[in-house]
Amino acid sequence: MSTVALKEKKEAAKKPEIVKEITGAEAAIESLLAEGVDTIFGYPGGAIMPVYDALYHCLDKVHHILTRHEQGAIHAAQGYARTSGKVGVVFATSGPGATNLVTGLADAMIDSTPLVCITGQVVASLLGTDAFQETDVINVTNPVTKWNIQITRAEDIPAAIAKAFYIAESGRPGPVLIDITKDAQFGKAPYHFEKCRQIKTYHPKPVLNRAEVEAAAQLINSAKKPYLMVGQGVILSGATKELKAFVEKTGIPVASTLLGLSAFPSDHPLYVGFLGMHGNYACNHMINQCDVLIAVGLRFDDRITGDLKKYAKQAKIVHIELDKAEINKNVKAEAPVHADAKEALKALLEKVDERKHSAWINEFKKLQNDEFEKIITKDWHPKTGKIKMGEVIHILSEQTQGNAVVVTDVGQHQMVTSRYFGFKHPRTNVTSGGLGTMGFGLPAAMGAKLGTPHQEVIAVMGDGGFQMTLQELGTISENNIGIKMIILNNHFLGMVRQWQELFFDKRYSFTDITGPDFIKLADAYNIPAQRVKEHKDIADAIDTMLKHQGPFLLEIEVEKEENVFPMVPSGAGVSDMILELPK
Amino acid sequence: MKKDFTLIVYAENNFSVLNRMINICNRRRVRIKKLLANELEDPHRGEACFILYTTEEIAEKVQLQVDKLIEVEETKLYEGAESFHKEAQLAGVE
Ligand SMILES: Cc1ncc(C[n+]2csc(CCOP(=O)(O)OP(=O)(O)O)c2C)c(N)n1
Repeated sequence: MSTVALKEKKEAAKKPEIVKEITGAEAAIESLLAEGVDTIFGYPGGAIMPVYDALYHCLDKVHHILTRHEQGAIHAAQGYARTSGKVGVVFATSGPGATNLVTGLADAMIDSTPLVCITGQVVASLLGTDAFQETDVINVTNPVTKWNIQITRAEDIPAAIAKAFYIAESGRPGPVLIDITKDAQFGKAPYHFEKCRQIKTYHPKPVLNRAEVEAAAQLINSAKKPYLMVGQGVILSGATKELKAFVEKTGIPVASTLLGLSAFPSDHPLYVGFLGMHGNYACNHMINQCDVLIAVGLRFDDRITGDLKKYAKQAKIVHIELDKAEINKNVKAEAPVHADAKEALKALLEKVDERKHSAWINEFKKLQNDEFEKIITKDWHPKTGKIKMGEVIHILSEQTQGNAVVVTDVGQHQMVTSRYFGFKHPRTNVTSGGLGTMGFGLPAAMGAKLGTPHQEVIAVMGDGGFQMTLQELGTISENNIGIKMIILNNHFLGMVRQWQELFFDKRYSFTDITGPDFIKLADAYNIPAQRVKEHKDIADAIDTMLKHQGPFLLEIEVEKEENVFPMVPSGAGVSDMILELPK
Repeated sequence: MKKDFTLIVYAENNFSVLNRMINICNRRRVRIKKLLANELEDPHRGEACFILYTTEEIAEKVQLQVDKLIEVEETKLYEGAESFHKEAQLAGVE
């Protein structure tokens, strides 16, 4: 380099960097791009128009999906986050736009899904005046967000967005909301973006405590009947390999919570089933037989434990959990390990003994056989009568060989799918667990497909839940989102009807629900569809659906008054799980 | 057995954090007998001091949940109300 050029370079380096001034709305979009956002789900309105205007200039860099309702946008973002492992991003306007996000925020909060939601707000001078479309969204969303903030100055936007992403995806993930007043969106400020890497008051990753690991390892090594239960924490921390290595070394049987499904391959010889109210019989019962119960990345939800007074009282509990407030919250742990699941499993792997527990595992077999004979074979191969949900899911599982993302709505079909779909790969199970949000399935499946376009994404829904967000067929059709939709139509709000049958003397109070002609409805949206009523047609119809390029809707008429068994009756203990109704 | 506990919280002084603390108590139906909230010397930091009437188990769980809030720097839990009154004197309220 010549001396002149060198001098010029030195001069340039001395000059302060010229930071360009842009509007707050532009800064919001630039910051999202800087965070690597490629997809946004949203719905415009008055208070967020400047952001939408800024977005208009960047459509070559980011994909915006206009849903048909803000609830659809946020569930889609959840589906996107759950399959891709990235943060889901949502835009909504003030007032009704923002309040329409609340169900999704609550769902994401309880199911630990990372989201960044940006809502428009009235201009700062109108805050608190009941201005048009003004809602106190910060207070409305306080209990259902991991963090939220209202921004009234353009210059604060980039840092708030950086902080929001950091909070949403670090530690136990969760939804974050940024409410930006319209004047802050219009206002101009120098743009400078810096990724947030730490927050003084927030410590998302605990330091692994070696003594805790040691205590846990000792308990595990001394156990005669150890039992492992896994939750979504394993998936979120990317610990599925470590889990498999741990299980194979220790020979401990593994069961999964609803959200933990897909963390461990269901065809593995040490996998013993799906826990919870409508889970598998043996794995629920054996909770009260084991001597050491190892729980990884889960929060002992009441749907898993049933009556806490009758839950694992004989067992010593090892609880590996990232969220300190979850340890000892519902179930007291003798050996708590406050840590990220991946780190803890890695450390434990070195300390645990190589074992086999054949006799103990054989104890599961008898109960598994009972369930197989009394329930599973009948569900899979009904000889007479109408189609059963179990038979459909069994065929779906066989045909896909577990190589699909399965998104469920909420109800009987959700439990049947969780029981009978053979999950094999992490992040292939997307369902609303903690909140049990009907209407989640269809939009979440759209997002799941956009998050992992190379995967087959299949939404399994009931006729009730489908009707809660079916307007998203418009989004699916417009964007040609190639999801496969299965409606298991029992013409009832099935799960509630089941409870009415069992616990309210069959008084079917408002659970008998009608629906439109789903085939005509799909047709109105230019989505090919087929209806199946006979057992013999199920396999071919699923095959046709799977082979079809693009979205496809399959309606399957199932038995109207089928009950999902086994079940732990409400308020009962896991050992009280019943295989059938007492005669 | 229910009794008085003093929960002292140091946090970043952000608009919604005090509401979040109160929400945690409300959700668990924990009675807040007294509440003192004040800005510290550094106006970006604040202190909230509660007298909670509840059981030890619930008081500890509330503490952990408050501790988890993003803006919360530190929490301290004491049995009885004395610590509250000391803080109140320091803040010049009592
Ligand atoms: C938004 C919402 N409202 C109400 C419920 C209560 N609920 C749980 S399952 C269920 C019935 C679901 O019926 P359907 O979607 O047809 O599915 P099925 O149980 O028949 O498979 C209802 C009403 C809920 N979980 N979510």
